[in-house]
Amino acid sequence: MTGTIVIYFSISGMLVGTIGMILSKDLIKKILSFGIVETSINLMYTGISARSGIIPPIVSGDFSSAFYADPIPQAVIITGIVISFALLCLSLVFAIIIYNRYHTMNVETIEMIFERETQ
Amino acid sequence: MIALVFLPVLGGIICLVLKDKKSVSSNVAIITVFASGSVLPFVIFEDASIILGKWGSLGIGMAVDEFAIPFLLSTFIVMLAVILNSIKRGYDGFFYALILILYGTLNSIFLSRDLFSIFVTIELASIISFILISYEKKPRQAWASLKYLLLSSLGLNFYLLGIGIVYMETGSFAMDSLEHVSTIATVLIFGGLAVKSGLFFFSMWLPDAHSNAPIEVSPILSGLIVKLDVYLSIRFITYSSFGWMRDTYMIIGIVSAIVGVVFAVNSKNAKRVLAYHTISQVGFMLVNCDKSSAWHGFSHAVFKTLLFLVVGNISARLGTKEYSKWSGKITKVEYAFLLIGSLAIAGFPMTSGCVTKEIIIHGACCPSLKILLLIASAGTAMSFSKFIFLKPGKSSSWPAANTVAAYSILSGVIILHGIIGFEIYMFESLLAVIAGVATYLLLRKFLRPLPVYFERIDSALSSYLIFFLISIVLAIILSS
Repeated sequence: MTGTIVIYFSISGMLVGTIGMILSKDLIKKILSFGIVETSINLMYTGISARSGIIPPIVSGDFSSAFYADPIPQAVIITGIVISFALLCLSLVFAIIIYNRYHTMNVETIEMIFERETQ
Repeated sequence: MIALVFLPVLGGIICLVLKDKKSVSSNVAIITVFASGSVLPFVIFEDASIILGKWGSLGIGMAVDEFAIPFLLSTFIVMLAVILNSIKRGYDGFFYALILILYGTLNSIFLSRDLFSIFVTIELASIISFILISYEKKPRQAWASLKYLLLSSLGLNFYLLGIGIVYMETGSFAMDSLEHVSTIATVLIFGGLAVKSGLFFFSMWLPDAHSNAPIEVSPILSGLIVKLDVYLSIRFITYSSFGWMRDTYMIIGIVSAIVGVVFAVNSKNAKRVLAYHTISQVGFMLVNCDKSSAWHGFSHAVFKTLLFLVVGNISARLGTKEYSKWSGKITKVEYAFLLIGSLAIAGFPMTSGCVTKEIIIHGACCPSLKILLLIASAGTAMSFSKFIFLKPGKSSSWPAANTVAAYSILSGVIILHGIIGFEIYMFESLLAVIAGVATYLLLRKFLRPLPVYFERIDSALSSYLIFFLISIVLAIILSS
């Protein structure tokens, strides 16, 4: 039950983040919306492992009857969390490089400058 | 098989430790590439499969088969040429460390049989390519890289959602569990990977990123990173749940092949011409997703590396990427290699491009598809006539020895592959080449660069998501 609620909640979070990425014109807001997408997908994997129960999978004695959480999705998504952290850092570094040169975070202004430079 | 992954990563770590000694790190890079290349024959002819870890089906499976071999070979050749070209250009150990770790990562993707391991390695390859694109720290490169980062990471999150659904349904991340999964999982996996494929409308970050990257990085992006999705599509399509993908790829592939050519013909910037042709050639590969596309991926990686290296070196020497200003300034040696690359991509007989492209056109399912493919092929010849009709200057001086070595390895592979694989029916490609060159001579006064509307970040994002939704609808219709 808990698992299913978490899964639906995280999928809707992903949609909200994607819409935010399209609609916002500010570079930092785009990156933060992208962070929402990543966090939601990481949350979804916790939801997947919580389908069979929410007790931590450190069970002693007879574990055939205990409703413990599935450890595999939790174990693999740790790598996913590290990757999303690295991606957020890298995108902010690129944003800093662009800001230092053009002093704006507006996507349309930046693209207009680049297109004018080409011609 | 493990050596193919760990040797390059080990070499990368050595380069990282010896970061300040510039001459040492390039030597380490060459030795590492040759060492991993010498492991390659043992892996290819063995046909083995192993499972890492003692957890049965939960361990990470690795295997090699006929689909992986062309990609493993092309990775070795491209990396060798790129590293040979980069000597004496003042790159430090960090650059070589990134390239070598990328080499190990790519080998790992082509050998892996585990869905989550593929996600991790693709993300690692993407992160390294983001850093490599903006290696010279120009704002334009940073912008291209950021655009690529936002789009590709969004796509890979959809992929992660897809394999989460696969795990919920089957309880395993092994690739064999894809045999019986629901359509929504397959469409999420397809749509997530399509953003990295270079198909038109799905990955409009591509022309900017490929044309602004440093000389040595564009060939890696175009020859290897784009091939990740091609390889995975060829592999996934053999599972029965992905049956709907064959028709979808036929439509998207042919559209991509033709639209990419139209943009390329009109472009004036030599590196952008090559970038648009990546879009078009990926379309060719995905029209019929089988072993012939894997070999077209191999030949595309080789000739596109040659073209990107020659064009990059010329534009770095002359200071302009506009090919019309090159006339009379390029040396005869450079012109010869440019000619070999251009003829190969246009599909002239006795080159590798002709062999693999003709097999794809010959294997097309229906006559109308074959005609459309021939039109796209003629368009390729038309766009590369720009390079063929350049006038070489009087100077017959040779470029540096390492550059010539890189060029000759690539041209040798192109011509050898072209002669070994040649069959008599392939002379029909000459027809497309002649038609293309004639059209170029007629129309060359009317070619103007097309607007870059599709490549802006908002339109790239929305066109990706719109076509993702369309493919979901297509999948539901085709699989019911």
